[in-house]
Amino acid sequence: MVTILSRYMERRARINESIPRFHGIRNNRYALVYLLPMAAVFLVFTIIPTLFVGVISLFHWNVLSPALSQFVGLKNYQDLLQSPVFWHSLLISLLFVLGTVPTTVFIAVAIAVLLMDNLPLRGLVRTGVFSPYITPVVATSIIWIWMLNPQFGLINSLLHAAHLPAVQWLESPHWALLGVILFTLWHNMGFDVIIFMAGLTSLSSELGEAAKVDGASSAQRFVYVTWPLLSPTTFFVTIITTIGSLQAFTQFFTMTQGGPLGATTTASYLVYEMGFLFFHEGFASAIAVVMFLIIALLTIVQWKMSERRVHYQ
Amino acid sequence: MSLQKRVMYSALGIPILALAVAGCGSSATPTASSSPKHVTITFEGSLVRGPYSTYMQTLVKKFEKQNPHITVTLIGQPNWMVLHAALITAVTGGSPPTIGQVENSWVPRYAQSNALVPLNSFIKGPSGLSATQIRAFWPQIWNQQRFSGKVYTMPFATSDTILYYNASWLMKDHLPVPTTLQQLTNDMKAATSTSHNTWGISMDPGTSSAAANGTYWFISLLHAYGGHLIQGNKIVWDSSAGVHALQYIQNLYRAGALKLGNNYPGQAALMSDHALFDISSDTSYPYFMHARTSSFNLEAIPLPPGPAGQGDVSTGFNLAIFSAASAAQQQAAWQFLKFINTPANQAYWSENTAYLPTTSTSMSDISPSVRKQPWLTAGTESLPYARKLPAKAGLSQIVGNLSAAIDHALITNENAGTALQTSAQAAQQLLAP
Repeated sequence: MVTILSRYMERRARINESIPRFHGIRNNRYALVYLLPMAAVFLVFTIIPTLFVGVISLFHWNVLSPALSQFVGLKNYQDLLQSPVFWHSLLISLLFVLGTVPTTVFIAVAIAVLLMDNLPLRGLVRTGVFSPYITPVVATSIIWIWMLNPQFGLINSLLHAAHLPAVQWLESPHWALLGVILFTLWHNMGFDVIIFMAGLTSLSSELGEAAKVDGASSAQRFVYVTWPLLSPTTFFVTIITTIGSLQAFTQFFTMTQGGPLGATTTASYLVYEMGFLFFHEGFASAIAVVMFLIIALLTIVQWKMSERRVHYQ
Repeated sequence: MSLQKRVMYSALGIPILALAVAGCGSSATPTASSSPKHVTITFEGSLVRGPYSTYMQTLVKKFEKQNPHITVTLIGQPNWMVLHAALITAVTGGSPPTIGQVENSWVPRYAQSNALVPLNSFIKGPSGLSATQIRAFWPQIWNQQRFSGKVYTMPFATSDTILYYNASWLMKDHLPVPTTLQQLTNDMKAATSTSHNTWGISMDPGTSSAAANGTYWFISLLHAYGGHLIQGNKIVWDSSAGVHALQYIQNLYRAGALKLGNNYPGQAALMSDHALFDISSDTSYPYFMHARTSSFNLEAIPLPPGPAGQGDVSTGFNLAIFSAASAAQQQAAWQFLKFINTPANQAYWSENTAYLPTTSTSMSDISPSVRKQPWLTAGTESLPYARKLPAKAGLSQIVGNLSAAIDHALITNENAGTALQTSAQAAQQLLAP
């Protein structure tokens, strides 16, 4: 998908270069007019509120009487950096990202490659793989709560059948995060599989066939030809999965509400908890700003790393 | 209080953005119609939608028929957490509803911001409440309506914590209906069997952000052992009474008679014949009846007394009038608040929702078959000693520390005294001077 998009963008750039300059100005003017309504919506509902969150983070905010809010400068940030709860939430967010992103990427690639073959009932299997992604997180996470129930849940019944000890899952600070990670992998995997399948479809078969002629095995062709060619897709999936994992909220809200003992209190959940349950809006906004900066930084780092991606074309 | 937590938030950023945008909004415009005699009021709550909406709509229609110049518009929210955020956002944006369903602990923040109308002048006014009408309220419920010497709310939906049990199981195993804490322990331990996958009770203490039934049971036990949550402005749940209460729960957990869970584990375990008991609100009763698949006899009694007598916690919601409403809307809202609390209407509301009637006089209006139901008998019997959580700003975060202490004592096997002391110290810092 990304490859197609980049080719399209390159082609558009070449076309734009070939158009006389006065046409470009006129087109831009029309484009701006067409974009204006959406830009206005984006400005009012995204940009301004985002900036406003930055402003709130500098105040001891009184939500019921904003006029009584006190300007405290960077005190909320100072408190944040000294707060063990915040650092703990960052650690949980990091663990969640580490638990979901690499696993998603590797499993999604594997499933995508399998689904590209002419399997029997391929359409049905593809639908099955993608369908969890279009189910509502709230509804399915409640089902997973029951599946992970330590006393009469499906997962522990399977463990019992395999003569393995029962796990307390969402009731245990050691297992709760893994329970949420398992749900997230199940729910989101289908989307990444589709992206990888789109990437695989766009690949030229010439290099693979040349490698086959040279005697490369299926595994070698995947490792040395297909996988490197998929690097733009992998980069895209890694970025969106990382951002999605850092912003993940609904499953934590539904399945654990940050518990037990804060074992699933991610930074995103902490923003909600501080802002909307405890009404420490200034502190919550400071966390939101720091999260924004972390996500922006990670994205830049990943962009920089992607510049070194392998291309055979 | 209805503790239904099945809710959704679509994206993390949206509430922040909504709050921010609401903060930029213009001031309220009362929703009065063009005719000066006709008044439209809004009523926002979580008990006006979902399973309760039919009954509230019936009451509203009845009210509008009696008061043709008043129209009541219901604004439903999916649960109390969303309602809390929605009301705060509405007040900030200058467009609160005329009437809001509020929890006791929310009142200080609203009252201090002058967002609520003190009801004293309405109560004493020409269309107020007579001494007989005030005496008809259960004293425990009526006394909860005050903050800083003023009445800010009128009763609406009250519940307390009761002990549900599988009477068929007790009879089959020749176990007594527990009337003391020791008997409750003995029954729970007798019901516990690894081979049959059965135990005494399941509970959910909740999390640091939202206490659940397990924490309310601990608070009831704390009272039964003679302790308090907060005295004056000091957290005192780490008293010896608190330690005894937590040790009681801890011992059951260590014996395997108590198991932890979430998403209403007590109800699920009782209704699936895995657990003998459940401790939850009287409002759970309709859910039990709805979910019942086996034919056992479900009964309920007040929580067994401890060394200091009976302890219980009352939860629920009251109704408040927001000060942004016009004088005509406030007057209409007061009429509605009075209407909701008439014996006949309370009887109707109670029969259909399993919330306890706010007045003792409503009991005679409740149909004889419902009057015998265990949730009502146990619930009203518990009312005299059921204490409301104190009306303190930030109470949910304060009590959240208690939930964490219970988790520490059970999951990490921390000493009960240490767990309570640590949580009390953390909570004390949150308590405004």
